[in-house]
Amino acid sequence: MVFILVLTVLTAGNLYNALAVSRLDVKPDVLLIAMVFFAVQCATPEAIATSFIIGFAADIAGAAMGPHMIAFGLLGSLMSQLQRVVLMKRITHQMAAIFVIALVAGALTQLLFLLKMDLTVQHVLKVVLGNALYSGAVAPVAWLVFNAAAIWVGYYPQRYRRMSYR
Amino acid sequence: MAHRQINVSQGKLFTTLLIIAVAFQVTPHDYTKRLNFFFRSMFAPILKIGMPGLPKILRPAASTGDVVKRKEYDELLKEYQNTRAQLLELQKRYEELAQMRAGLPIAGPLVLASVVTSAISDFGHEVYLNAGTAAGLRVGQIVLDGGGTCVIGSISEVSEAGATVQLVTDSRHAMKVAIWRKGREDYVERRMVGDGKDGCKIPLVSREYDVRVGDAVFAAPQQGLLDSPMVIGEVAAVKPDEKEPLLWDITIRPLFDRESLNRVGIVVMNPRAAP
Repeated sequence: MVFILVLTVLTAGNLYNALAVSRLDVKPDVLLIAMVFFAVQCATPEAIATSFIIGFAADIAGAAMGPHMIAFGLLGSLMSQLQRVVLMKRITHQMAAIFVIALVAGALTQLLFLLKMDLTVQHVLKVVLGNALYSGAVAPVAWLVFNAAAIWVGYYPQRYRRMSYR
Repeated sequence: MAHRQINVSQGKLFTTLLIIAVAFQVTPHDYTKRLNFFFRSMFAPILKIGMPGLPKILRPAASTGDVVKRKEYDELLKEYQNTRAQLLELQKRYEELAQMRAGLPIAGPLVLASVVTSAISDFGHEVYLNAGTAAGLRVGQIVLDGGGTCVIGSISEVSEAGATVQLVTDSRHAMKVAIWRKGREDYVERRMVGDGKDGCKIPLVSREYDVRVGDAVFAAPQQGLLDSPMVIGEVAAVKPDEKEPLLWDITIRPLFDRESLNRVGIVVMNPRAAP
């Protein structure tokens, strides 16, 4: 929980703007990467709960409550069901998986945000695509950090216990 | 959080959390935004560290009824600009009218009209206006210059949307006037006619009357047309008539400039009686 809180404060704060590129303020979505990390590493009930909680955190750090929680919850639950199929051992697999999930999550989030607020971000397609590309690009580094942080706090995820990370 | 075992079924857990998420989604933003504010205020000192990023520019969703397509927007913008230009023109006319009215001794309403064109020739001195019977104009009404300071002529012809003004310098134009000098109590009342050039003449004034250069010439009040005298010009020359030595040959110089007539005011004393 503390780990998620730290990530939430980090992504909501001004410090995180140092990673922003282009005038569209494209940034990697580390909360989404964390959601995917927990979804594929934890047992299914934990993965479902964690996905919704990270979505809640993304909402609370964002502009409106609901869109991220639904999108992350749905995609995290789906990922937890597919964790035996989706093996993200290779860097390219991680990057591709995070890119696709970020693309779907971004689109779903923007759609739900539109439904709730009747507002949309300018150049929404570019923003969603940019965020997904950026998230996919930084995914391997974030993955390593999350792994290290998980071990540091004494948590050994199910998958981590099940197979060695090569 | 995650390392604790959750002892509920996956389906029940998923459904419960999804219901909560949907509840957040459908709850109006005015209520849920308190959570966002609470988070931001609680961690404000940490969140403020670093440089502020670019603000997210949000725009209304294209599907809402408050938004129109670009093409329609452009059309509406053009209509708006035209309407605004008309409004500005009306405001300008209103101000001119108010200014004109403020300097007038008459009580009747004024109609402001623009000079469409003018015809100054040997055959006549006329200007054409863009207002007619629809604006309350009728033949014979007195016409003032743009500043509302002096009489320039009277309406000779009128249609529904236009009118012709015969200037006082037109040789066919005649008007009852009064010659008055400052300090004198009485005045001489006669008919004034245009000389067909750039002035007017007042014939049949006996040399018994004391008329001098510089005396003011006023349009005399007329029932239903003008309720108080309005200046037309001044006496430019006065000499004995060559044909009738007992009479004065009086030349009047109008005070208005024919070349700069763009707007005129028409005195409409009784608009209800106008056709």
